[in-house]
Amino acid sequence: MMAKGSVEEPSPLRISPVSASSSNLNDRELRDLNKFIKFMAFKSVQVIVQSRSGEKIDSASKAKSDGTDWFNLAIYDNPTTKSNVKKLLAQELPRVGSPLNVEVSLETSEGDRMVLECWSLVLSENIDPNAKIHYAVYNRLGLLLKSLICISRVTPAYRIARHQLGADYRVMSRMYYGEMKLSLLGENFHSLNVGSVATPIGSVVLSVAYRTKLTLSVHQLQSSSVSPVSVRDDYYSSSSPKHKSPAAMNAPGHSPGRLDDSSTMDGSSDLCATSFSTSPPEPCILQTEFTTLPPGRSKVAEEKPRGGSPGLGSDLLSGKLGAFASPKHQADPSDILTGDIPFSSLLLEDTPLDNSSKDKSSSSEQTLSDQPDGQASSSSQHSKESTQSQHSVAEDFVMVEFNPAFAKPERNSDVVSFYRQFQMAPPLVMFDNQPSLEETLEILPTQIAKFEESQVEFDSFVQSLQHDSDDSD
Amino acid sequence: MNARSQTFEVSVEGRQIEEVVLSLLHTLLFHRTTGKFHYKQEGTYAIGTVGMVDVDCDFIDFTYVRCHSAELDRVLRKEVTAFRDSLRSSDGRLSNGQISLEFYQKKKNRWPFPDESIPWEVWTIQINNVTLSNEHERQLYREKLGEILGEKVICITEAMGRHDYLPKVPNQPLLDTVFDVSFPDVQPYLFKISHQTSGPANTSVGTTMRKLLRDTLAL
Repeated sequence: MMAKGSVEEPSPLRISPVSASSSNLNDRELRDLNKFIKFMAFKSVQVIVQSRSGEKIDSASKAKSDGTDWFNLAIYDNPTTKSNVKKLLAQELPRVGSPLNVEVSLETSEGDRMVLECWSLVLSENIDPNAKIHYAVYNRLGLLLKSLICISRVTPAYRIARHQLGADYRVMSRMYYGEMKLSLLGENFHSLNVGSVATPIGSVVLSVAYRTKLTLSVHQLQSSSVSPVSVRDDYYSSSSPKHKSPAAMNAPGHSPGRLDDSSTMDGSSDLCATSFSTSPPEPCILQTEFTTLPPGRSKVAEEKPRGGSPGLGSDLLSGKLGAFASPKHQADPSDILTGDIPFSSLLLEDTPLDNSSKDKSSSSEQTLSDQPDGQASSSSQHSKESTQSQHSVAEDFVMVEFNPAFAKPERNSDVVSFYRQFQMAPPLVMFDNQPSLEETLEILPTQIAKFEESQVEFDSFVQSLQHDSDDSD
Repeated sequence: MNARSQTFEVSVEGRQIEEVVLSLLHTLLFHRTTGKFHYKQEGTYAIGTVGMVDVDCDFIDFTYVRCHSAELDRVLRKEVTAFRDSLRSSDGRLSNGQISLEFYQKKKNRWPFPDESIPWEVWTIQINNVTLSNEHERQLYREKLGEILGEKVICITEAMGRHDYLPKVPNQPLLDTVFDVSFPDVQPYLFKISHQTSGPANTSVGTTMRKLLRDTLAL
């Protein structure tokens, strides 16, 4: 920018000149003033859209500016935004009664949309015929732009937009001419005058109206959650389109950031997507006023199939399903003991935990130790004793229900009955009629005498076995 | 000519002092800084471009914008740190105080008279120290303070938008009487920062803050 009567001429643009009937401007001054207003609109929209992109701005100062640094401010020109604004301004400039509006709205992954704020740039009828175009007006427009930059960080939408990266919502901008749709901002919205610059053809006025009640109604959430969230079978495959935005997926052929060519009047659908959410959500990131959103989302979450749906739900939600969890389980403080301890259902029945009779072999050993010394302990005797011990366990020990692993205590289950049936070898028939202890003691000496008489036969039998084993080698 | 002045009063906790003061000073200087002037022949000059940086506060839910100038940021931080240190008394308690940003222009006088500094705009930030008792109050207050600072920024932009008196841009020999030409990348209007303490923290302010927080919670 060259001052003191010398102005750098940027590339000429098609401009619709504003009527100068009430001003004392010459053609050059009027042309330049229209150019200033046009680029004021360009840069204002860039500031608003970039401040709602979710990213921090960092633009370098330059000792010498180039032709793109209008108003001597380093405002980066996003190409998509620039082309969209250019199309809009090619037909008309902001004029009296026809403000240029930038509507900022929030859209959730379920498709719910809420208008957060609406910025407006308009030319009012308040004129200053003595304002100098090439110094005072230009510098004051630059000052107004600085105020816009500062205030754009103050309204609630800024912090919401900053947190959209990593969340399952996005902040979008829409540009249109005409009256601001203040009804979309809910009750008790606030209006703020950013500033105004008086010129010989009218005052450039910049203002914003922003929502104060940042809540989505439960009805909106319920209406969007009628159909459960579908889980794609190919979600984890690399070729799945999961990284596309919900809008892109719902509206085939719609490329983000592309505006409708005919979108110059009210009612247009100039969606200028500023960011898309693909990563898992971050817990507890919204303002506290967003109170109705988590419960509504938890309703949606409960309808999901087990395993949950990616991209939705957060640690804030109560509907997130963990492995092995029942989808119908409702977190209840009274159930916290049985709900949190793994396999706690095994502990629900009245089974005392302080006896060791689960180990059948140990009980058998105990029974064996009760036998008198000197008794021959054969395997058949051992099993006989263990069988007897099963019946005596009821007297000395308490039977513990030995369920299969991960099994529920259902007695009619085939698996349980099968397991119990074959848990132990069935008793032999020969042990059905067992002599008592006194009878056994009486028989023993006789048996021993018999075995001593047959000792020679037993020895020869053993030798014959040894010979056979040698022959087989 | 009388300088126009405006005072902001903010109640803060000790660790929030720097960010509160820096956010307001940077917002003011962002409006009162232009690009570097480069004079050419025939009395014309070109103006450089001012960059900008978003700064997130650590102890306040607030983001402000400052000029992209490391040197300017360093100068302001040095002054703010000195101000914060001056508030700390020997026993570790923080007292109240105020820091002022004064825009002035120099009037060169003939020898032996020294140059005069004539202020044309003075901004004062009154800091009242409070002590919060628990983390819940701190969390509430960092949100509340973010809103308060937002209101201060709006006040600043309203004042800037009135387009009151600004020193006229001089020719090259007198540029340093209006602007601070010491920075390599930006050119703010001549300014100076001063501070003073105003005694120990008033406990009634803390009581007032607790009442404010209780009212906020009651809502």
